[in-house]
Amino acid sequence: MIGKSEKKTIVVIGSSKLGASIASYNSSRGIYTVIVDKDASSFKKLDPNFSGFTVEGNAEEQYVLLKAHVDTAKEVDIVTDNDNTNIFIACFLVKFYKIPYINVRLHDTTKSCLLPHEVNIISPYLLSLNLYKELKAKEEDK
Amino acid sequence: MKIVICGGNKEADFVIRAFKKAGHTITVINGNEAIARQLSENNGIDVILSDPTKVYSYKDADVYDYDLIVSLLENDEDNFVVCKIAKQLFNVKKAICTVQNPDNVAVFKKLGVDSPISASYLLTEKIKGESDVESLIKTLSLENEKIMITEILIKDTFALVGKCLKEVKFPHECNVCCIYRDSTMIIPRGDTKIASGDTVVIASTPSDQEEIVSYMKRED
Repeated sequence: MIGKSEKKTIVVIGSSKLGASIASYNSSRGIYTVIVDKDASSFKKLDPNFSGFTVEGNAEEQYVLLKAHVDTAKEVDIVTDNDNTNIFIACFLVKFYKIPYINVRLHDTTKSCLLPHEVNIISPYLLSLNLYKELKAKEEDK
Repeated sequence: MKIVICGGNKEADFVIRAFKKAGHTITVINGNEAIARQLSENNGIDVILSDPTKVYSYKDADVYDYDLIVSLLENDEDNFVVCKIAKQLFNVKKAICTVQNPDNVAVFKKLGVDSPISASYLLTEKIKGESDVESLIKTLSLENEKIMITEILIKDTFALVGKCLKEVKFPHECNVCCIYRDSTMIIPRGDTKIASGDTVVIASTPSDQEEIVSYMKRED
């Protein structure tokens, strides 16, 4: 099990398609993974071979986060479908816990500056836009 | 003061009316068309129909350097983000919001929301105040609960009756601010005697309040 001094858990918040895939991926690499969602039925999206833990509950509440072992996490991925929920949880974790890596999905990039500098932002909008530009560049090269 | 009020329905209406009466400049943003129209009609003001959780709403409303934001949205995390947008991106000086989860009062304060208000939190505090000390004692908290003002009605059975203030050995630091007797206010001095039927007003810290009150109510 996890030792207090040794941070090696990955906690995924939000069992969205992306969240479930991140959790399944890390679990398949033998990493102790915990996934949190307020709706237990969303855990169906996890890979059938997922060997991590699921926690049903609202991750805006501290006791749910502790149940998921955020205090000993080396990485927390916050990927619920709601930007404001993600921002709130990220600010909360940065303020109260020392977590080496925090990744946050954000749809609305105008809110990027509300997040603490320590967190990494995953922006589907920017990723799509950049891919589009790459495709366009390739097309023009031909 | 320049104030922006976001979201809400009846409570927004109430707040708008109060601020307008007090002569403040108010900007109202509401995302619900029916409510926005109602607020506008009731108060004779323009209401900006726009999603209060989006950054562009505040840009359009031009709320730069406002003095206060009051966020009355339903979800705690939406209110949190609204307060953060206002303070961080638009330099609004103070943020007040409602919260559903009473535990969030402490969390929001630590995360930079000046005054998170929870109805259930206030209700619990109120009930605590009422049940501890019955109806003869009223309390008021100031400065985010750092100062407690307690009002105690002196019964003839209390041991304090007939004593000078300088003889009273309060268990903690506190200040007797005034005594209300026969419809007049007395500013107390050391030689002022406490009489039955007096209402004594005391300022103290919240943690000392309970002991001071039980000391004053002693009957032996």
